[in-house]
Amino acid sequence: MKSTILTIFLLVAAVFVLPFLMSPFLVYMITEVLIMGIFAMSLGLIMGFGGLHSLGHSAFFGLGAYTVVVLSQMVSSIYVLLLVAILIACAFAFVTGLIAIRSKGIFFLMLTFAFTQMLYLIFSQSGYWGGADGLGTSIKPNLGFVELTSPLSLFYLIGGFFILSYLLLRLFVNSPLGTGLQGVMENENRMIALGYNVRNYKVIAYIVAGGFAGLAGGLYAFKTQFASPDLFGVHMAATVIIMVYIGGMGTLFGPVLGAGIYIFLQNYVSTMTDRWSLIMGLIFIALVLFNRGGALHLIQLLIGKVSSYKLNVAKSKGVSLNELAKNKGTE
Amino acid sequence: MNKKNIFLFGIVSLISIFLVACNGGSTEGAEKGSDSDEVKLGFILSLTGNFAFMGEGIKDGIELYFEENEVIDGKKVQLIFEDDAGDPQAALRKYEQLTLKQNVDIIGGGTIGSIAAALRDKVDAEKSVPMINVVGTGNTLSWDNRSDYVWRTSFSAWQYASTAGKFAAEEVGKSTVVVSSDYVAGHEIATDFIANFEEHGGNIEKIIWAPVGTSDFSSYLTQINEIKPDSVFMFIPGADGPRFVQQYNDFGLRDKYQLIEGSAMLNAPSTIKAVADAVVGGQMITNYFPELDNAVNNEFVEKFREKYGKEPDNYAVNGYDSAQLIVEAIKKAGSVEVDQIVKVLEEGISIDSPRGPIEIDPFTNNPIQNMYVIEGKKENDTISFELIKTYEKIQMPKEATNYKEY
Amino acid sequence: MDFFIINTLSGLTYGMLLFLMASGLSIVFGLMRVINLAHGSFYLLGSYIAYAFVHNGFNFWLALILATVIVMVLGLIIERLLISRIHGNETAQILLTVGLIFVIGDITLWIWGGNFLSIPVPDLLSATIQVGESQFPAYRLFVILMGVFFAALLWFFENKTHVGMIVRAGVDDMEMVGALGFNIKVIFSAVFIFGAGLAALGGVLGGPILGMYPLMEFEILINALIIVLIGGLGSWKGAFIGAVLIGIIDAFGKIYIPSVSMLIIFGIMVIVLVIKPSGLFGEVEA
Repeated sequence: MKSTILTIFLLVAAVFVLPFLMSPFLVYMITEVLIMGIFAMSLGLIMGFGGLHSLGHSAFFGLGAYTVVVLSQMVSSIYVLLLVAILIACAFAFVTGLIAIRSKGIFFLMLTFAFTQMLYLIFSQSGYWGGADGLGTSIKPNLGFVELTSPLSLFYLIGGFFILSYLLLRLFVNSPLGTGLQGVMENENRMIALGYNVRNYKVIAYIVAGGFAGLAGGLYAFKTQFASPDLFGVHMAATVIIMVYIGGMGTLFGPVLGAGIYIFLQNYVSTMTDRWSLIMGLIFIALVLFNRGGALHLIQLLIGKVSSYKLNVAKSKGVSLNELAKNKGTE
Repeated sequence: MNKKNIFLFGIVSLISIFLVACNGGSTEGAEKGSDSDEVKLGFILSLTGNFAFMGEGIKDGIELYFEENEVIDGKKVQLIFEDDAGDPQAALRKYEQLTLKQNVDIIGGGTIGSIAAALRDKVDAEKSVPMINVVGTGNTLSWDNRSDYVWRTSFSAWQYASTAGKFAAEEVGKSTVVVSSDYVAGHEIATDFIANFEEHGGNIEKIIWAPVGTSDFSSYLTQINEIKPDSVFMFIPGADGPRFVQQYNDFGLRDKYQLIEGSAMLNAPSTIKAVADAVVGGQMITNYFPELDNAVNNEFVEKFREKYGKEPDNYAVNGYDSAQLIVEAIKKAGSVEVDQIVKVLEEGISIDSPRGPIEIDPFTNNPIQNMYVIEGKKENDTISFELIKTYEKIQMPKEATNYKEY
Repeated sequence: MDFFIINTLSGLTYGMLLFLMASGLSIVFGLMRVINLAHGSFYLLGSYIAYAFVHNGFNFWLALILATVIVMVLGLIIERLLISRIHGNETAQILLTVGLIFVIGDITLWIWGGNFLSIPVPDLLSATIQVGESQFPAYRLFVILMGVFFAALLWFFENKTHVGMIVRAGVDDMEMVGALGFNIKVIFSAVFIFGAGLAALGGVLGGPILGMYPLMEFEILINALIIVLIGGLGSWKGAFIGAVLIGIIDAFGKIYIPSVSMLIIFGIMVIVLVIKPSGLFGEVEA
């Protein structure tokens, strides 16, 4: 608990100080990283702690963004808008989770993908909400006592939500629910034998993850003041998975780091060359071949936490430490 | 547990150092161009993804023009191209980058309608740079969503579709089937076409909405075959379009029902290369075609061929004219201040385009231009397009007329 | 009546292209437990390479064979160099094959540009066949026949040959097959390049009908994945039935339920997987 408080303190300090050291564009980029960080953390929760690989996580993000944009025509309170965004995302997660969680592996992946594609088709083909062109809004975050209009205030707002999300997810992971979930991922049969209702654990985690993704989507709508069906697209869904992979699974902060690396890399590479997707692709392949634990583990390794690194690699590969040692020998 | 903190602290400080390093290394924070000796122009185009072919053409046209106009009023032009991959969200990110980091003076962009609309909202809200909309054809950008800061050099859906509707009813026949891509621009085009087709005595037999990304059109073709209309009006941009033309030919409809095309796709060099004879006999509404005979165009086509080794398409001309408009506006304003540029544009600017003289209409922020109807011909194994009718100086109405929307 | 016949044939044409693509994906997964999301990129490469040959004066049939062989060689390289290193690690497979999609997609964009391209129909099959008052292109009939031919070939392989027996046993239990003294590595490589070859063949055959353009691999991949999941992983029969089903729904859906035909396809997939999580003919539950 002490460590959590310290971590939070560090994050608060970082969020507070960073803008003074950065140009407006970097503030803009970090704002985006923080939003995508919440999004990636939520996926990291079900992937890294629940073993659920979803190619449909963008559904919740898109629903959150659309909720804010559409409802902002009627309501202006940020509390109501974000709350409704989270609730709608949770509701969708509940319904689709009940269906999809029966399946595993690629079946789960494809089912979640199918749900997201359905939303994509509905939003891009319907006559409401701007269709394929998307929908804009002029809403600014209004906290009730002050309206935030400057990019800097938006940064602090989103920074605040990021820290809150991190804290809540941390609490969730360390709660009995969270540890139970990890138990399910490590050995589902054992948990069933111990009398746990495995399905409920997964569905609850899925709903929690959906809610946080919805929050991220809602914040994203405040930032861009625009929602389009691309938010549901396969590209968005794949991007967030890649963020989690790059950062490393099995931790909360890894996906955030992954989001940061992905966004900065993508932006700089695509500015330098039109061949950016080629370079990004090569980077993914290299990541898989040379750095199996993700960036966070690499840094951990540098700092000298070799044992924890191995454990995490083993976890993410779903093999025991002994097997890992054996593989290392053969490689 | 304490190790974890050290570890996190390490990460946070690493990131901070990285960011500060990035910050120091760049030239951010420089004042905007007005008193520097450079004009910075930022273009957000779809250079990868589904619409890459459009972005490529626009970029070719822009670069061709600035090759000969490297300096405006003693200021050197710096071009910055950014890729939005056909995604409005990415385009908005690039907008922030261009305005916050590179401090560009004028923005160009909007390869597709959704991106033009998204950028328009941003530009109109911030009012810090003017934007030249290079393609995005949505009517609303000239009507309800007209912004003083957003100017179009291409054409509007209304200009194409109303002309096509008039032409089809008067010159081809009174019955038609409309095949249109099922998205915002498709509905807009169909609405304008149908209104004008009916106004000139025509009768719409059927409207077919083809989902974007339709790979096989044969179901629709069999339906058309049952109806036996005089003409088929198609608006299917992107990769689906040539495929429709190809299958229209494969299923033997080409000789039976006159094909009228409404997205300037039929005569594109790439379409001809892909589907060859299938375009022969097809008619098309356009604001430009490379065979157009005027001095400006002859010179343009020659320069374009020389530089790129290929024929220019409509997108290349849109890019070329966007560049021309930017240069004319800066020269006339004598400054790159956003208010000065907007003021000059509001007075109306004429440019000598390869498509004939055009005038940017300050009431609709859209060019007043000729519309041409051309038809595919084949002689000695080469396919070319021949002008069959010209509609002169087509100007958008100042606001939407009330008709039924499809 | 013509209307019905022509739409059925059209649906079958599309279905057969998807079958060539999906059967390889299905067998590769069934045997190797590898999720190859880059399978669609083999389709894309096949059609672009064949286009390059045809464009440079080669005849269609030669281009068909050359493109298929080239993609098979590439498939072998990818399998040996990359895929074989990450067996049993789903997450790595997804990231790696997504990386491959990016790389192959961008290289094709680099070489061939972003324009729509198409392979001309070979002269031999450029005629149309009269069906009542309507016409149907002969080339499409040929594509249907090719699909049926390969389905028959797969059936023959599976039931009548030694290789088929080993592969079938491998789907059930690969370790057993290894224990019996067969070289698993060779079997994996052979199956992988066979799948890549089928996808490439589908790409070449689809070239004159569907053409080529950026991001096409995603469209094809999504349809193929749906088919594989409906039909069941590891089963070419499932892929065949799934592909025909999707093709026919696509053809008739466009007419009777135009705006929701794609939604229906996803809906069917969800229903099938809810009722039978391993798919219609599934032998594998992941």
